[in-house]
Amino acid sequence: MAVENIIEINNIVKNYRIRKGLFKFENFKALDGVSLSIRRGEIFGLLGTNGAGKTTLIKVMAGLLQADCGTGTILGFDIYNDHKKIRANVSLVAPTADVGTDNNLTVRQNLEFWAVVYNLQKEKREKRINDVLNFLDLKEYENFWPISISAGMRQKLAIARSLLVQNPILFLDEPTVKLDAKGAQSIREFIRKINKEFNTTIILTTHYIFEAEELCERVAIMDKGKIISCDFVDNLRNNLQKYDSFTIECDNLSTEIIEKIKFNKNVLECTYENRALHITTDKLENILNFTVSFLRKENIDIHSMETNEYTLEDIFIKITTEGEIK
Amino acid sequence: MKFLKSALSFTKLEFKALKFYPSSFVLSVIQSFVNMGIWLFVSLFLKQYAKNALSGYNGDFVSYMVIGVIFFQNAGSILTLPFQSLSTAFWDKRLEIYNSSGSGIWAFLTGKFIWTFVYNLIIQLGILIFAIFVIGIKVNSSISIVSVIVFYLLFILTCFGIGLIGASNFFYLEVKQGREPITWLIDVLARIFSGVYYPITVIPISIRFISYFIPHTYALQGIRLIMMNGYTLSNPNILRYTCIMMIFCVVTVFLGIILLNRALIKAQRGNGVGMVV
Repeated sequence: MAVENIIEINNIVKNYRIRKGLFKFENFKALDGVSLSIRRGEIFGLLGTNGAGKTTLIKVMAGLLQADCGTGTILGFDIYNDHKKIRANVSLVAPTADVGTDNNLTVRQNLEFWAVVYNLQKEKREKRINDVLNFLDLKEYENFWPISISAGMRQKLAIARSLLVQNPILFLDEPTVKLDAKGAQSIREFIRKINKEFNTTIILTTHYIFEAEELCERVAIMDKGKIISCDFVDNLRNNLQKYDSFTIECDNLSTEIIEKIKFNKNVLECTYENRALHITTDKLENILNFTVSFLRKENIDIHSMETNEYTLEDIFIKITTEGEIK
Repeated sequence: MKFLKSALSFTKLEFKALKFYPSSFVLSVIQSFVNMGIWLFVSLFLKQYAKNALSGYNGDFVSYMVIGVIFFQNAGSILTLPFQSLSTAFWDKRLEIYNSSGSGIWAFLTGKFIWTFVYNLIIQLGILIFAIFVIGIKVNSSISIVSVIVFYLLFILTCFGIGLIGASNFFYLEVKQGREPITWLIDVLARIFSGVYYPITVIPISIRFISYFIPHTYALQGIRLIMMNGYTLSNPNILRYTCIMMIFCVVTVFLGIILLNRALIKAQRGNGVGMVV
């Protein structure tokens, strides 16, 4: 079955005009030739440091900012001519939960207010609000003032607001920022639940690498306004296979043995320190087999062995320091 | 209809806020009374001297002043409303969220307008009734309420239109707080040249022409003539003022909508509605 891309953007450039004096302005390139395809129903992560361009890209895709050049469609709507339609069909949750939450209204009243703003039909409103409150475990807090509930709950309220209308795309801009570990974990669980139950395509920005790794099938790594790598998390790891390493704990390795291991052309680096033989290779399986066989042949006792699989954090650091993986 | 419902939900939001802080309503009422009171005393002090200049209004400077101040106060808050609303929402980081909803920023501004209109109407009407029955402001016994309402609505809508034109500077000139130049200028000119506190005949002829470019001049004169002299819309003078006010109203509202819409598009092409340049 063909995979449907609901977001397709090509070569998007976006400059911000920054005031440098009373009449002096400078351009700041926030997005520099960004291309991206996002499939229906996936959780897609935009990963990058502060100022990488994640929020700008989300705003362009949510119809809140117009790109300077490039092409693109969101749900089939053109990003230049149909921004109102795009805005009506996507939901956006800002980084801080308090944005859009009125402290003079209870949790329920906040949702009632937004249900009207989102033009939800009167007969559907009540049921939808109850559904959303139940779905996000907010029912028991429905009569609480937002200011009296935890930051995590307020973030849930912001997500609840965006779920009132069942838009096919949900943008979450740093959804767990400023939350404690428990609150953040709870939000991550609900993000998965929203994606699973409503088949909502979720695009989230984060600078927490573990969060992207935990939630996203695919991630785009952004740096200085560019997407420097975009792939499935596993593929990103596999692309770094040539740099994989493993460690074997063993006793009494002579320099001669180490030199013999180093002699293999697929061994990029080989060190022996504190009883740990550390090998970096571009052919993990082959060299692992070769080393184990060789050590056994030399009657070396192997106490333990582990491969050092790259985490998304390793990939992120490597990519942002070395540039795009070819 | 959907748009109106959305706008009214913003109006309700203001009402809920007022329910929490009724003291702000009480303070607004007191503030309006204080303003009116100051000008009442000034007019009482000067009424003998002003009598001759106000022959067209039965020489009644006190009624002239109080009616003028009440309607001017009301119009003033509508004039600054669009810009102040955008500014508050912007700094509360709500503007972008409002913009991302289907009805957008326009529903928000319309809701705020309805609320401010009703809120001020209640306060100013209360002051007007107090002025008539307690202070003894003279209102013609054959006053045409319909004519007052028509003039009042034209005046308010014109001020809202000018306010929208001014609010477009939120994105054109990137003025994000304080006052923006257009509504500030109109407010200043109206205070000096529209005859709020004194008849425009006291203004030197060489600069009096400015009065004729300000909608407040026609609105205040028309409302005073209707209330104090009992004129109706069929009166040639009132009819002329009505036509002028209608032109002001249509032009300013139309221009305001176009300019603010263009400003929003400009913002979207630039840094967005929620970001400081």
